[in-house]
Amino acid sequence: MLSIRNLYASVAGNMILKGLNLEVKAGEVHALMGPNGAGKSTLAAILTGRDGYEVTEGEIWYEGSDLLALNPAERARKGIFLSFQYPVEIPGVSMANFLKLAINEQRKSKGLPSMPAAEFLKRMREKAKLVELDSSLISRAVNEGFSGGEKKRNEIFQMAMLEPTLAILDETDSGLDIDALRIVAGGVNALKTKDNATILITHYQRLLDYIVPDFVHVLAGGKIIKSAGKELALELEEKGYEWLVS
Amino acid sequence: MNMIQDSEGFSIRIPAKTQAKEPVYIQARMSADSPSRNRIVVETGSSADVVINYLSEEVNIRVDELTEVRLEENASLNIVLLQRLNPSTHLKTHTIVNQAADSMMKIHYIVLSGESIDNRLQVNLTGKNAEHIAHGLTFTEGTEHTGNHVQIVHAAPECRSNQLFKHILSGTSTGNFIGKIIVNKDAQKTTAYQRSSNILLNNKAKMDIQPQLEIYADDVKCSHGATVGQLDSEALFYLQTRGIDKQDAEKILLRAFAEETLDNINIENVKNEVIQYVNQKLITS
Repeated sequence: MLSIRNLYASVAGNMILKGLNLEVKAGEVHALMGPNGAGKSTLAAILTGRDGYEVTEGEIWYEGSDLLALNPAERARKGIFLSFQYPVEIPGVSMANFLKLAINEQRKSKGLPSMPAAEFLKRMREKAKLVELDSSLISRAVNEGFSGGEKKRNEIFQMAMLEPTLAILDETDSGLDIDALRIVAGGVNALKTKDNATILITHYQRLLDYIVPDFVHVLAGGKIIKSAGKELALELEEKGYEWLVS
Repeated sequence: MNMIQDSEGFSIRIPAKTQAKEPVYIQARMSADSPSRNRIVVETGSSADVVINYLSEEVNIRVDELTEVRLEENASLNIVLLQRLNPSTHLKTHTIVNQAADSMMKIHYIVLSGESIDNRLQVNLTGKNAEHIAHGLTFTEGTEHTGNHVQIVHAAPECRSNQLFKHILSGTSTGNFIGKIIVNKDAQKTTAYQRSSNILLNNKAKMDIQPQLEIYADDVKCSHGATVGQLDSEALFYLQTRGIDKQDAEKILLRAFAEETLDNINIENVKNEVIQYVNQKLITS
């Protein structure tokens, strides 16, 4: 599904990623861990096409397309979803209108007609329930006045609405208490199918108690320095990163 | 209701204790060198809604207009100035308002096109407990210029005023907002707010803001704020990551930015009409 080969990328002239390789197949959950500044969020930014990041070498293939040739909206319509570390408040733009447009843009790109209003409302209700998002929040502007936990649940709610093929969760666990973490993780697990994949970017093993990864990768110094099964996360929790980095 | 409109301008008088049911809709078709003097009087206990739709078809015309508005006690007036001018038109409007006690006026300036537009508004709150709300939404592009110059004098106690003006500027267009609040010595318990928020869509457009406060009373609530910036790039990216193209995302954010200046136009059909024009402006710009 996703193939990252020998990726070098810089931000404001600083080389952050230095020869990163990663293969993600349908049905897999990958956890990406590593110390601060290792390049985890840079990778998320590059996969979603954020401005200001320059790929100087390497390539990224996604579902048979050259990902780097697509703009952020095209990537989203092809099924890439980013759960933001810091979701943005957008006053004056209602959640419902925003999601309706997002869903219909995706459908349009697949040659499908707009989703009927009744079906849309039904899906909103179902998916809000999945992450226990209060229905009063859905009638508000995007993230406006949401608590930190509500914002994160709203990200997963949007993911549920859009049903992405590849979801990238950028520190979705940060700032969540244990109950909120359980709800968010429950949502992510419920959305898992054999046809989609998830990349979890996280500092802590804690999230991986709830969302069990197939692979754990350690990103340090701009590339993946170790990959193993879920047991690696526990080892990292115990020993830290130093034993790998040095 | 009395209404006269001729080439020299219009005159509207709402007699005492009359609630005008339908909005008065004035088509202000401007022609070369046609200065006009207008007058609106809303007598005691009456209310009216007025829409002035400014249109100019001839090219290169310059028009100066003076409108006097008088609100007697307990009168209420909603007025919308919709300015969609030929891109070569120069227009200056000067509106002088006197409001007696317990009167209420809302004015909305919706400026969508015109080479050079100057809207002056001078409000005197002369009776206790009067309220004035002045909102403006301006789009400028190319070499257009729009100035909004507002002065509100609180001459009596317990009055409230609120100025909110927003400009969206592209091309090499320019705008200015000069907003003045004067609170006289005996105008105690005044509430006066003023805010100007502006978005520059490129780095060649320019916006100049001058908030001016002269406060001589001591028991007042006053605030002013001014911002000039670009569209929030984080919000723009967020919308794109949900599959919305950048151009559409920009329009969504601009529409959201404009909303606040439109949402209290409480003449229902007129609000819808204004929203349509604003949406159209966003689509074509």
